Amino acid sequence: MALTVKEVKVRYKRTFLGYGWSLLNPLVFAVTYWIAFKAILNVRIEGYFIFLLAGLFPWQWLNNSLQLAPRAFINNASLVKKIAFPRYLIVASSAVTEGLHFLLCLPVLAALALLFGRGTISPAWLWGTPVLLVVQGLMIYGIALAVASCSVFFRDLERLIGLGMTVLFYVTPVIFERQMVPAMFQPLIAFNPFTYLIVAWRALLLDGRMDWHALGTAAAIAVVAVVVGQAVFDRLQWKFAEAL
Amino acid sequence: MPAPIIAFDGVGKTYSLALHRGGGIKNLILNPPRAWRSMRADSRVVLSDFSLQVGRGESIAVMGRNGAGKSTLLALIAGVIRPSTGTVTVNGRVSPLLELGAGFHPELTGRDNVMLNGVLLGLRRAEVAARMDRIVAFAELEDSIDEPVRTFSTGMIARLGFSVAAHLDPEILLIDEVLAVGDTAFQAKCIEKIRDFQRRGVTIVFVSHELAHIRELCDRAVVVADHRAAFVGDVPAAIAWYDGALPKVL
Repeated sequence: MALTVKEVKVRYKRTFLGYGWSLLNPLVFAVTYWIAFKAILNVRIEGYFIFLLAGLFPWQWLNNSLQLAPRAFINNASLVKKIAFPRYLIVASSAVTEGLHFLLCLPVLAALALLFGRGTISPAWLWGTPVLLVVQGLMIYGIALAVASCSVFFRDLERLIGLGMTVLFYVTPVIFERQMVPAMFQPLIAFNPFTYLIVAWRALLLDGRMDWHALGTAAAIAVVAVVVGQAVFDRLQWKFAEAL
Repeated sequence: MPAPIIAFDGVGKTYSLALHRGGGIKNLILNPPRAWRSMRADSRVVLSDFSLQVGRGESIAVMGRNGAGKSTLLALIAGVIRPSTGTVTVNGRVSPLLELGAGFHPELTGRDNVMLNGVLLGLRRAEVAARMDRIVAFAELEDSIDEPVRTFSTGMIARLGFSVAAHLDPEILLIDEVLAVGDTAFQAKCIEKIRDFQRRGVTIVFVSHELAHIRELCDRAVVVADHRAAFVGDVPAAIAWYDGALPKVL
């Protein structure tokens, strides 16, 4: 908890807009993609602007967390080297911090959806949102823990993640619908762990229903991510203080 | 001797030098077997078969040349690294490892850093908050505690670090050369505080090259040389041994 407060403070210490950035980012991207794909390429998706936002907000949570993960232990070297405490808390607090930002963006998304006449307020939001928050939070935690642990020793990982997330963005149904992808490329979409999260969020936020198949798959991936992440962390954590 | 609060039993610590070399995964991809072998082979022994027992309430000085393994010893007690072989047993709450730039985040204010350190050491927020004024007053930082730590001078950071460690009710206090940076007045204050701890039965592990401080504060000393506890005994004997051994080691 104290670490989360610290994260928030450090993050926005020297920025003027602070939390506003986590709203502004997806909005700017949504406008850009809308111009590129709707106005110019004329993609056939109804209410494309809101469609984009419903994918971009959860994506931003994923993307920010994983981009920050390689530096989680490195940036906190002074703590890791001098105080014995459960170090996985650093990664957990960063996942929670980003999740909080996402949560604060949801009312804005709902308001915009109503304004543009896409989507309906649904009782499914009440229980669906916390469920998906937990699933995504766990998935991020697991992956970030493995990434953060490995990158203490292989600093190249930070570059790889940056590149990887850019590629993954186009293999995740954020700017398009899953059904639009040609059969040849469907396996790419299916093997992407983030596909199911985005699909589930969109079904919930735009159609007010839970996509049980997507939720189940995402939850299974999240469990595997946490188990693997924890195992990697347990193996490497006693070398952190030496390598930092 | 009373039951030990810290016990090193045949401890070996080997650092892998590969962790500190550049190249990253490039080598691993280009030539996996060789990279792997060289990673295994390149290591430096810091401690081997090191045994030592520290009794509760004792103040022990750790002496030795630069690179002898004094800081490794403290890191093992603090629990931030683990021995390669042997066991380290610590039966008490350890203060943060006190050395220059004591675990503070540069962008956070002094106050936020104190809170963070306290909570990570297992105190409740309210407990830290209750001590905040005393911590700040002891460090004599009333005017700058709400500034980011990056604006602090080295001496100010050391003062705050010492003050935090001193007010968190540690059972074991680890001190690594911190007294060297404060001004004379603050040094005197720290020494007074350390004496206060000694009266309350806190165990102190003290790394210093300042023989005067060692003579003044410690009951016993261990000389780390040749990866081992080369000499353990009372302070005057240790200093004599150390002075005598110095030319030989050189």
